[in-house]
Amino acid sequence: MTSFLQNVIDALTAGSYYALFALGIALIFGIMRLVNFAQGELIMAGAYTVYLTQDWPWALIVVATVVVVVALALLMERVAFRPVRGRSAATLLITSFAVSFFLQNLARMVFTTLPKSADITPLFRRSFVIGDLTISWLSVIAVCTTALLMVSLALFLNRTRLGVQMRAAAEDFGMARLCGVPANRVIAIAFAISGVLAGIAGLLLVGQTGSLSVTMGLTPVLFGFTAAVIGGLGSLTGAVLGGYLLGAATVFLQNILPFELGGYRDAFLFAAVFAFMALRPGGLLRAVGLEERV
Amino acid sequence: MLDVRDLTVQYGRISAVRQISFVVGTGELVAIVGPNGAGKTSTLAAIMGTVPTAAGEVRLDDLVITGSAPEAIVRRGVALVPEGRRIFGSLTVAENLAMGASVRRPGRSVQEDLERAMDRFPALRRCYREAAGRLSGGEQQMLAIARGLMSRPRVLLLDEPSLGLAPLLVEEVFESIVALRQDGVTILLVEQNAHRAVELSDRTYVLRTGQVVASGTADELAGTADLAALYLGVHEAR
Amino acid sequence: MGSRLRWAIGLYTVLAAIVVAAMYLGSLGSTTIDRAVVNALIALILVLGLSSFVGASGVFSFGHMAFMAVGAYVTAILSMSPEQKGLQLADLPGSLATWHVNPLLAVIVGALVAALFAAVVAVPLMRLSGLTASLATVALLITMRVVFQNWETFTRGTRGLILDSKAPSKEVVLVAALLVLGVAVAFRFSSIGRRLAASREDEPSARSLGIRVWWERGVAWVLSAFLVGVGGGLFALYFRNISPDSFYIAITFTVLAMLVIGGLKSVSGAVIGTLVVTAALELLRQVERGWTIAGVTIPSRLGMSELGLAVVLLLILIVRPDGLVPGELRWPGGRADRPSPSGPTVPPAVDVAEPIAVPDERAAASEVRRAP
Repeated sequence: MTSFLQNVIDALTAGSYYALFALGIALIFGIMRLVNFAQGELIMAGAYTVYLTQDWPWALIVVATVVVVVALALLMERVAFRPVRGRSAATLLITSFAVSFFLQNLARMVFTTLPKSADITPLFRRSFVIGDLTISWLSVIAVCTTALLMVSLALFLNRTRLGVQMRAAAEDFGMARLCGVPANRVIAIAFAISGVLAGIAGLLLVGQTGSLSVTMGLTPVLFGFTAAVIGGLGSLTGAVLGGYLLGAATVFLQNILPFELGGYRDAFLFAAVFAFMALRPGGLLRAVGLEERV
Repeated sequence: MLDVRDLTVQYGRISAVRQISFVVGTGELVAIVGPNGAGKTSTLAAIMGTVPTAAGEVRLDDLVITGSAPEAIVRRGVALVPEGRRIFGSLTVAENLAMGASVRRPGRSVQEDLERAMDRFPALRRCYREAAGRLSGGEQQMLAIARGLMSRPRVLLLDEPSLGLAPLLVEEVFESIVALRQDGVTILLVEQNAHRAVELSDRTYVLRTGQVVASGTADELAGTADLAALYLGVHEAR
Repeated sequence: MGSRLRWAIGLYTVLAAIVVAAMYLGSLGSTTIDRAVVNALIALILVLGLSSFVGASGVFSFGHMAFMAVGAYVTAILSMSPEQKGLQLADLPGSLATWHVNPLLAVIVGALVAALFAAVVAVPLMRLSGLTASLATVALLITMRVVFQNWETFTRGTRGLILDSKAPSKEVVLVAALLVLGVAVAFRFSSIGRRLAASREDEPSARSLGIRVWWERGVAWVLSAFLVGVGGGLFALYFRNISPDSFYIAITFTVLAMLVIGGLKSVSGAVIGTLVVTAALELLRQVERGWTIAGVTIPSRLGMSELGLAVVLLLILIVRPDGLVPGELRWPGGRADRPSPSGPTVPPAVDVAEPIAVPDERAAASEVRRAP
């Protein structure tokens, strides 16, 4: 029973991370049909901001991280994505790949490839014990933060004027414009929100591993869009669902794989996802149309 | 109020609309009819700014709106009820109507307009909190029109409102359009259902392969060559 | 058909001439240039391989370097001397440990294994469309990397393998590149190639005509994997040092960039793109190593050439998304008999994400989407 509960906690924690990654991707995809590979680099930027500000009081670290990443996200949108707005999904995909590659190498030039370490607060590394369960404070923080962010996002989308406009734009961008909603505003907000999500994700990742590297954004973005695709690209609830499912699958695989095969966990995971996508290309929930553009 | 001059719309090498000109006077109900592919929808799209204008000009009361972004044109007072309605299925009826009022500041006058919309279209009051995707075709059309009106437009563009609706519903839709006109709304109506459109409007333009081939009031058009012929180009109208 | 064949042959001649000329121009120098030339030729093979799928299907594959890796590792295992195998891959099963074949034969076998693997992957993959398929190929790339990093028995994990067989001369690589070019041109001009190009432009119509798009895409996929596998094998033989990271993001990006910058709808684009990007990269690498112009030294900075490439790619996507060479080069004087439309003749509604006025109802209907 205990190990089951422990697994549940681990799955929840992992799932929270994945849901965070996935939400950022699903949000932008919903509005713009763009799968933003560079979301990974936003997470990386968040991590490096934490590294640079690690001696500050933690509240300021959080603020700084969010501000920097949101600024980067908005810049990215303005410089790289606005000029290609409205193009085919393939063009958008390659553009985001190029932006991602650019940022990775920029970081490499500035920070060099050596991994860095950052120790924000010793609290992150501590755990507490309830009965037979060991729960790390970081898990608690990750799960709670993610839950908080999701609730806030849901409230924003459902209860505010701006949120309704964004949901409308996600369903039918052209029609939202025809109702007078400024395209630039909606897109900027989507990027800003995904920037917040990425910044927090970067913070949590640094807290978890204590180290960072210029390529650290690759795995999160892969998990992120995998989760988003599982849930049905464009659906925010799907992204969250996909994230937690992926978390559960990761923990499950971790458990059943014999030790020698442990390194292959991610390979099995993605092979399984790949097979799932072949069976149900639309994802779990009804997906936004994914018809080919090229 | 709406003055279109020599409007040309091109998609690549195809000219969908070739130098057409027409006017919609304040308070008028003007119709554009024509067969499929005549360029009717492209014309509306050009007015709304969703497709670029290759040549020509669109004026709203002496203000040139050609080339502006759609959201700016809506702000100026032109609203579109698009072909296929394009209501936001995942939003509620209330939210759809709110979307229509996006260009206005929330407040009492918006609330009043909401009430008026629901008086006009009682079905909307019933389904107020429901997801708009669950409405029937006719109800969705009413919602689309109501949404368009929420911005208090100076001109309302209607693109094929009768499309896909059962005949009874088509009548209802046309009746509400006439009622709107009687309330003083300026309307530009694009319709495939030529006869009804001609009957109801103050003036009609007949479009074929991107050009205006005839125009006038119901009586004037009856006098010229048979409408069907105009449609099909069987008989060249001079 | 005659004029099409003539055009194909003419195109091949022109492109082959360009490649040979570029190669000999580039070779006017030391062995470091030699290395760059072979690099370019192998890149050309990779790009042609990738282009055979992407150009045909319109689906971007981020996973093709997995096939390159398969080709490379199989080639390595088959061509390494038994002594080296004993040292590096001590646990290889019996026969593989002693087998030692002609390196070029190893390349072919490697490519075949890659093609086989591609065929297996194709079964689920071809069911996916456009975007999802592209995302699945990302998963493929990363999955295979994990496999290569962990399958110590065959790959020595992250340490990689060192080959000791005789490296091919650059002439051999040139011949291989020209052969691959021939295959790519032949495929593009074949009936299956032309059907694929048509279905790329307009899939619903193609399907309605009964063209079994998924099957034909599968063929393109497997063929492209084979060609890329050849590139991988040659890469292994020439550079003699391979590891999982050799076949990961950097090379995926470079190859993709060459394809897009050149123009992904044509073989000519693939060739031109490769040459242009190779030249640009070499230039940028010079800058990266540190330059002194007129007494001002630009300090060396690792990563600058990649940065430059990313910027160029972004510029092309913004300004000239069809690439430098949007359509096939025409054999001068020949009749313009195109195998496929080089640009959409349907209203750009197909390309625009937010059309409203669409004379084409099909596109309009597909725009009405349901959300969460």
